[in-house]
Amino acid sequence: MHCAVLVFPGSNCDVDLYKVILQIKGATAEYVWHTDTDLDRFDVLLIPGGFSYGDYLRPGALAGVSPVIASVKKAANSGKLVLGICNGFQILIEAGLLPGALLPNQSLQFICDVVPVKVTQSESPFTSSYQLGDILRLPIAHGSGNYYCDEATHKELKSNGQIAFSFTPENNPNGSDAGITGLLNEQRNVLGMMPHPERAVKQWLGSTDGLGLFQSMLEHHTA
Amino acid sequence: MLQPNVLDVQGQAVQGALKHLGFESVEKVRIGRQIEMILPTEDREAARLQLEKWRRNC
Repeated sequence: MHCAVLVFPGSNCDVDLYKVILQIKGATAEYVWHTDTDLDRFDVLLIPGGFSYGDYLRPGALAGVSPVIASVKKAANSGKLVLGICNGFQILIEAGLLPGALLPNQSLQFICDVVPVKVTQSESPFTSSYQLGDILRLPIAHGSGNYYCDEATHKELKSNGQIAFSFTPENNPNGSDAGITGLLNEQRNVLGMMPHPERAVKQWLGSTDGLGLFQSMLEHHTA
Repeated sequence: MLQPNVLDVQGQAVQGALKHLGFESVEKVRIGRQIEMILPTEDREAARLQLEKWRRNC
């Protein structure tokens, strides 16, 4: 499973993401600078977190119109897996690959914490190694993770089973609608999530709950 | 409105992104509490339409 780790000016979680892939037996990774438009050699596209373009205009807004995005869309439409983490989720939304918007956290503060995250869709290439209802301990580090969508979209997301991860009502750090913090597209080959699974892959990091996500992807690819 | 002496890197970055979207002719973008764009045209209506297009696409 050959993965692209896209790098935009200001991306800073690319190395963590790259290193996780190297940990997964059978997976390889390559950094891809955002002006590179040839992604055909990759099976999976990964969009890391960080502050692309300094979050100028809106987080992910400028990255969303970068040269590489047209190729990401092409890959997504052809069914390849695309994973966007944190700023990557923001970029996927700005690029129109996922619905809704990510607003500033309700507290208007940047939140850096380890929080319980519930798996609310276990039937996807990203979450198949988890059980529905599993509570993962994952780090979050974001200023704009407050997911919003209108009533109609929310209804559709629920009925299509697109909500992959949610905060529990008692533990919603950013005020996102219904605690939504991980979203799949309709075909379930594109996932955007605010928590950082790539930072929960070693005992000494405090949690290994993120590994399952990458293992699911490998299983899906080799199936 | 940003004071004229402020180096606006955000505006510069947005101007660069607009070029990717085909809005080559924008001369300057400055972002303070409002977004200012300098368009090289005397035609007010054409300018308004361009801004509308930009607003809808970004």
